Amino acid sequence: MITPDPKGVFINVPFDDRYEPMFITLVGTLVFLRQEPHCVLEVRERGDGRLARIFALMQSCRMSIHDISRAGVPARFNMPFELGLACAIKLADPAAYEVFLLDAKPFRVDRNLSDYKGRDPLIHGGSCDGMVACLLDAFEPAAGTPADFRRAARVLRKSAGLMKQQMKSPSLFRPSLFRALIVVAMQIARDHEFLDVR
Amino acid sequence: MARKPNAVRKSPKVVLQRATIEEMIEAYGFTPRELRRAKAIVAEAERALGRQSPAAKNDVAGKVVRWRKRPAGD
Repeated sequence: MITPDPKGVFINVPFDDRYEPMFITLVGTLVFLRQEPHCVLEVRERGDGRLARIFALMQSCRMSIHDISRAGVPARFNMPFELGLACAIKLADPAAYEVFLLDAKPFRVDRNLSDYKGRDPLIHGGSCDGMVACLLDAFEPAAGTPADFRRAARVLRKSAGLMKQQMKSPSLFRPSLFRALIVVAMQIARDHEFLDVR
Repeated sequence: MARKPNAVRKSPKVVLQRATIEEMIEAYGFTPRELRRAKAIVAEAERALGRQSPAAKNDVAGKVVRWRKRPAGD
């Protein structure tokens, strides 16, 4: 039995170029909110299939965030599939796990995913500032104003561009860059006093 | 009166615990080298963002002043 990390957040989002600024904002804002984001990029292929390890990573977290704003054409099955896994963890022990759903447009989930009807998704409107607002709706910030969070996220997006240049990588969706993104977000959180220093 | 389903099933806000930078470093196992590189990248990004707005504005203002001061017929 895996003991969940109370600050662990599993993120389940599309990995495409257009979503990259949103991804950076999501990961960064979670760090600024004192959470520890994890995603499938940390699950390296070892030849024994990824599904069991993705499920184990989800179970090691206290909550998960699923962005289904890109579940259109071309069809992406990973995000709804992982949302289903998260719902299974939540149904097994409702008090021990939390599931947050993100979308770009209001009421769309009610039509596209009627089994999930009745829950309020967080609507980011497809913008980075919208993403920050969604996360501030879900988490009680310990420090900082919404403007502080938006400014810090802007610094992180700029830093991510520099990291990609250094790595000579066209995409941020790589295990090493995900790790670097977390450590850079942590440094920004320290500079903006979102995190305490012992 | 019956409550609306949304009100019943809406997730509560997550209340955050105290967290230190040292706890996060330990959780992810970051090395001193990774931390130094992160600090350098953030400093470069801050500089780049700082240069963009006020400096760019001054440049434009400077050009306007120079153009106005240019003597007629020059």
